Amino acid sequence: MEYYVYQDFMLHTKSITYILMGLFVLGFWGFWAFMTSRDEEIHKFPEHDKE
Amino acid sequence: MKRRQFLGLLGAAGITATLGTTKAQASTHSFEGYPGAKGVLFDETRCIGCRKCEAGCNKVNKLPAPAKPFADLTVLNQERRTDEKTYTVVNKYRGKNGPAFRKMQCNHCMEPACASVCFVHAFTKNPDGSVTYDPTVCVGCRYCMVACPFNIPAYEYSDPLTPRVMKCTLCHDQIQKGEQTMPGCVEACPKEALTYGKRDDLLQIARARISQHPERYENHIYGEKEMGGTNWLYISGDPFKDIGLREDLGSKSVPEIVSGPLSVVPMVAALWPALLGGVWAINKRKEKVAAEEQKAAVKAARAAAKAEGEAKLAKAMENAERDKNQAIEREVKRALEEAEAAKKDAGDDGGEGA
Amino acid sequence: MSTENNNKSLMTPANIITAVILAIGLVITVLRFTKGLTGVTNLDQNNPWGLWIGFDLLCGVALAAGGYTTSSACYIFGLKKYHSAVRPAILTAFLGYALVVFALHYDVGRPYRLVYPIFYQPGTTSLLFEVGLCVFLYVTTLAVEFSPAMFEWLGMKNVRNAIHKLTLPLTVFGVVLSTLHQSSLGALYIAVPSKLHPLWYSPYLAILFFVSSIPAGLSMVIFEGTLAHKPWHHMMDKTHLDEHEGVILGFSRGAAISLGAYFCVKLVAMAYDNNWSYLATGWGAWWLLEVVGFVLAPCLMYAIGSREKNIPLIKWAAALTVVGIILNRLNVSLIAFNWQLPSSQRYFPSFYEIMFSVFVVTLGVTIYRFIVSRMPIFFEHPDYKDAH
Repeated sequence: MEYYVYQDFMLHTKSITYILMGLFVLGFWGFWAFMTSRDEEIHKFPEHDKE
Repeated sequence: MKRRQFLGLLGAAGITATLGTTKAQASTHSFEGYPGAKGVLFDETRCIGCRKCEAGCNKVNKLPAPAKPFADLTVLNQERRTDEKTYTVVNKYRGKNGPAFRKMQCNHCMEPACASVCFVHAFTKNPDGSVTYDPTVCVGCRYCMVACPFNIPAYEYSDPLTPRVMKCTLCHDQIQKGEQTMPGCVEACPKEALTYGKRDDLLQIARARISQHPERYENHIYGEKEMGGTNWLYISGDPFKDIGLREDLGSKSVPEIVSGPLSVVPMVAALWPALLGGVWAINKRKEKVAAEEQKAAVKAARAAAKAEGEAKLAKAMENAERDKNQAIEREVKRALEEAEAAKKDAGDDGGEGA
Repeated sequence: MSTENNNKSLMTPANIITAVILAIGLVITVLRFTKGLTGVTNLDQNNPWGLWIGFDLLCGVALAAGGYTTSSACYIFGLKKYHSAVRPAILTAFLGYALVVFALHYDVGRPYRLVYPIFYQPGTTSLLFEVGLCVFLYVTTLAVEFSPAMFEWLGMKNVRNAIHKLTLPLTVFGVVLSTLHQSSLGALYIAVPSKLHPLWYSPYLAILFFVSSIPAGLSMVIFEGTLAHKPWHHMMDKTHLDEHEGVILGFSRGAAISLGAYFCVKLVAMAYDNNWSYLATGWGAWWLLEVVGFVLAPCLMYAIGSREKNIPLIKWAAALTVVGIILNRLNVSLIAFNWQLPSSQRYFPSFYEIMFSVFVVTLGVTIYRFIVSRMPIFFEHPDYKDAH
């Protein structure tokens, strides 16, 4: 599809870009959670573990 | 890792195929506007300030009647601008040879600032060259008014709930519907100061007029390049700034100007989580190491204290043992001495009789 | 802890003034939605953005930056000694942003369409779209970040604990969003080189706004902490009181550094377009006042105050910085904007516009007072002492 107007071209590219941004943030969160899922839990208050 | 890399490449290829259907790449392609887009050429040397264009516009767009009739030319003594009931005004200026007049209206930019900044995409640059406004989505933020370098869009401020932005439409709707063959202002002009046609043709006409009468015209077509180029073009006998057209706007359009900062936005979304996550992880590691070092230090200190205590105890025990042995020795010695003394006493007493 | 005030009369001087201002706000609301913006503002065709954008939106967002700066300092950079400052900062930020959204409902022509750009027809080439999207997401994030305090007050343990686990991702998301919208508010004006005075216009406006939001936030935390200290001393637990001075000293260091960096960015922006000659004009004097008096001066005051542990000097630096940020935002949006128009066409806010801004701030202060005197903001709820 040919774009004659730069503004219209940008509307197209930026719309895709915003969707990508949403995917980045969610994807990163999931990726991080996956990577740290087997880390040792940090127990700062051992007395709370008694429950 | 090979399988993952392969899948990753497949995925990337798939996405590129879907999204990369346009051949236009911003870095190499140049955007020339719709071919055949129309515009208007205003020739200042022909305008007599009769205001018939204003009347024509008012009629064709069914705008409310003005406070003073269009035939009243005394309004030209005040510099006016477009407002929510007026898509176009003619202003009077001081020209080289007496009064000069210029018609002001939306310039229908090739890369419109209003379209660039509207956050709800209420402005469209149409293939026919016009820039039109969609009141059914407008939120009324008025950023278009802020951004327009020509100060054209006007707002219905007195409407409490359904205010609209008002500006010239190049009679887009009327022409599309066939009610008009050209904008109402062009049709009404008695002196052919306004010419409607393809932008490319208008540029040619303008260049021809200037080259045929170089003494009559400023050697410049206003709107050819200003703000990235406009579909409303001006040629003039007087310097453009003298007829109210700013000469300091430059040739970069607002979409171009804004393109840089706009491009940084997704970089923040892409990079910040990684950077911040990294900082957090480094900090956690530091805390963990510090905690372990502290634990080790406490342990070592305890062990040292314990060792010291045990050493002290051992020494004390040793001393106690020694003291005990010495005491025993002393007692034994004393006992022996006492026994010795007793023996002696007994010997002294009964020693002669044995 | 919070019942002391309930037994006294509600007719305190503060409450009476609040009631009067809220009543004026009600009047303005009626005027706005019966007579349109004409009935209430001095906006016109040449000046479409006025005090409500320049102050309520631009200043409001800049000064609410304490939320992301404090929470990132504590949770991402691991500076635990600021922990007691996080909840008050998040509360202020949440109220600040909520009020920005509230005020926008008065300024835009069709507030019932405010969701259109996000949910109906996004104008993705517009930096205002970016601002709107990020503010929408961020006010939600702040609400979630604030909610544990409310759930603790309501005794809803499970909900509270579930949200508490999200602290880190919310904080990271908050920094991403804040960076984006703080900078984009500045970037709005990059589109208007022809209307903004060269001393304030720059392609770097986005960086200028973002960098200045950092000392703005830090200074507001110090400033509000100072204002809140006496009236709510009885709500503050030992940790809060103990950490108070450390927060002031630490934040003054951060503010000194970020103000210094901001000053450097200002100079780079000047050099970019070779605008030095403008300094010799009247506008130049005004620019120098803003930069020397309200950026350089507090920067040095913060640095010296932090070095000598001079708390009063730091507090004055905070006040100066806050005024400086307000001055800068008003300069960009109202004073240096449309600088070329003849003075008869320049804009000045109407009485109602000013009163509306007072009304919005009062609303914020009132809700703030309600919350801090009841919910665990200045103290840790005894059932949840794992907050570190």
